[in-house]
Amino acid sequence: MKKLNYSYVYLITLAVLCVVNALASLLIGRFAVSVSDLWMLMRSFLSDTYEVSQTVRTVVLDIRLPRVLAALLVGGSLSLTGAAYQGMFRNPMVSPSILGVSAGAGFGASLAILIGLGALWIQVSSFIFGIAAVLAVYLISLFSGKKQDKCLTLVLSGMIVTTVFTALISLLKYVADPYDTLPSIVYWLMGSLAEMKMADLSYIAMIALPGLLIFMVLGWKLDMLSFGDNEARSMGVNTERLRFTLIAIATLMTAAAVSISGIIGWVGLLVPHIARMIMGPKNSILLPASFMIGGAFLVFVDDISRSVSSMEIPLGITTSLIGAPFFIGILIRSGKRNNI
Amino acid sequence: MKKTVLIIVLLCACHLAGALSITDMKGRKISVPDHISKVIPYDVKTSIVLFPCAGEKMIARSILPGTKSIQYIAPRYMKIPEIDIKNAEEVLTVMPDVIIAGYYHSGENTERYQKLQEYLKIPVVLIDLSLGNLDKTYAFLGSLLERKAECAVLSDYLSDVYKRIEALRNSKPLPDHSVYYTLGLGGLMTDPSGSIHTEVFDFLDVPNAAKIGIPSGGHAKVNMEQVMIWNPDYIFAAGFKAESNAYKTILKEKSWSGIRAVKEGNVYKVPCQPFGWMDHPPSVNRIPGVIWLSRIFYDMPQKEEKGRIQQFYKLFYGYDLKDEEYYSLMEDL
Repeated sequence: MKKLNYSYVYLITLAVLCVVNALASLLIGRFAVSVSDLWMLMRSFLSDTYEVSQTVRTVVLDIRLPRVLAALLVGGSLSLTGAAYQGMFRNPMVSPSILGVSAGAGFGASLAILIGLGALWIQVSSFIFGIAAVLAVYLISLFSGKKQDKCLTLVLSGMIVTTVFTALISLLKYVADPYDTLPSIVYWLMGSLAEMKMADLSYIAMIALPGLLIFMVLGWKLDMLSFGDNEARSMGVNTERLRFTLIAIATLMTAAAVSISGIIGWVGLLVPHIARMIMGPKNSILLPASFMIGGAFLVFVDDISRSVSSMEIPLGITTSLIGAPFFIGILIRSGKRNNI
Repeated sequence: MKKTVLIIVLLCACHLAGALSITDMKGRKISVPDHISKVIPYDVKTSIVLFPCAGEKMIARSILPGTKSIQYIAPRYMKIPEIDIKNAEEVLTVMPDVIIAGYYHSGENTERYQKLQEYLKIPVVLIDLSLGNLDKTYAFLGSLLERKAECAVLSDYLSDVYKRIEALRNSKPLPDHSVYYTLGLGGLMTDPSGSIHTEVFDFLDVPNAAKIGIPSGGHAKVNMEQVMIWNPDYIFAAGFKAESNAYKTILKEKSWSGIRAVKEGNVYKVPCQPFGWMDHPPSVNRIPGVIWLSRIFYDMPQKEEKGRIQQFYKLFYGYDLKDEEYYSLMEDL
């Protein structure tokens, strides 16, 4: 019981850190915004006596705030689903894209860009194809017979569907206009939050936040699933239905995240491990912790992406370049601790 | 058997006798047939250049992927069969006398053309595609393809445009303004000064707002705050398809509303039919862009601008651009 209380203290600390990180990020960027500017801006909401320049208002509220919130939700969704999948498949190398959602979403977005559709339709198409890819994977695994190991068939079908969609993306890139369409597709696939607007946020928030709640509630059942199907069934869990529910919600969350941000690797693979090292394997604690650490990590990485150079650095690049040494450091530290 | 060998030897002899040694615009010495009757362009940039001067010798043209249907060009251009130069067997099937390829500056690495020439055993002739030398390019093509009269018309037209622009440029100093060129959705892909994609602005001494390194292979992505810092006075948005043009986004989105160009109504949609006026691809199709910008920045009278652009479409695309078509090209969505 005492241990559990500590976990909640950790969770609350994480939440506070997340908020502080997000607020600090509102100060970072190419355009100079001082602490007093931000302070004045916040007070201007409460009272009309405080005046803030229109430019500062635009930079903070229309450019940075949507990006920071989007980074929180996208990073959070990817990390949470990564942690859930790692538990469900009992495999530490699993990431949210294992069932083909990123490849499907990438194809959907590339197709919409190629046809010349607007920003909204690129998101919609990406979201739909992301879900379609996972649906295909699930159907293949259903038809592949009951005797097989369910997790294995799911992962294998995921690999097949990913390969097909990756090839289709290459095909679309090959037939795309090299002067404007091809670079747009390439930049989309590298991941970016540069064009984020407040309107896009409501849609991901509507999926990510309820998803987080459901996962927190179902966390204890997921604990049982990670013992293996037979053990879980003997404890009265309908494993098939549970797995379907978890995959469905995780897919919705990942597809929504990828459709607004493009493909961001690493976060969903790396952050769950960090969260597990800090919080332990209990899913009802691990999942929200992953969400917060993932969100904070992506906010931090996005700060770098948008501020270090006058060219925007795609998120896919920064997450890997920063994530890798970060991960190595944690591995070495935890290795040393275990030796003692 | 003997007869066959004899015929082959004779054919080779004829071929050798009809060979001419020339120096292409890049200064490479190559041997080409005496009379060139079959030409293929290396890419779409050279297709556009070749069509007005030697359309009937073009046995194939190159297309930009994703841009099948184009307007405002003579139907006979669309009837020329398409070819992909990467497909060596297809090229050898049509067996052109020469392949015409382009380059932009003398220091450019053109090794790939030399390799292609050695691989296919077909001479690859390099022509200069930089914006200020296109009159010389047509003069060169005139003598290479024995189309001196046709090329002289094109070359004279271009010399006249260059001369007029030089005069306009000397007549008034440009105010301290800057332009931001963007392409694709979202308005955050751009090219700095020095890039071939924005050569039109460099050519007219119009300062480019984007102060970044020249991106190798394609365009650079920047972010909104950076654009706010640059605060350009003019924005030119390009995009081949209507929905992939950032023009609407720039006018509508709140984050763009503080940019000087938006506040002062200086956001322009770049015409793109049949080919882009600024780029897309960077070839002779940029001349209407140069004329258009001369009106915006150097006060070329609109009547003159319209006349010159219509004349360009007539000479280079074989198309009578009617007044209403000119206006629909220029209109802002």
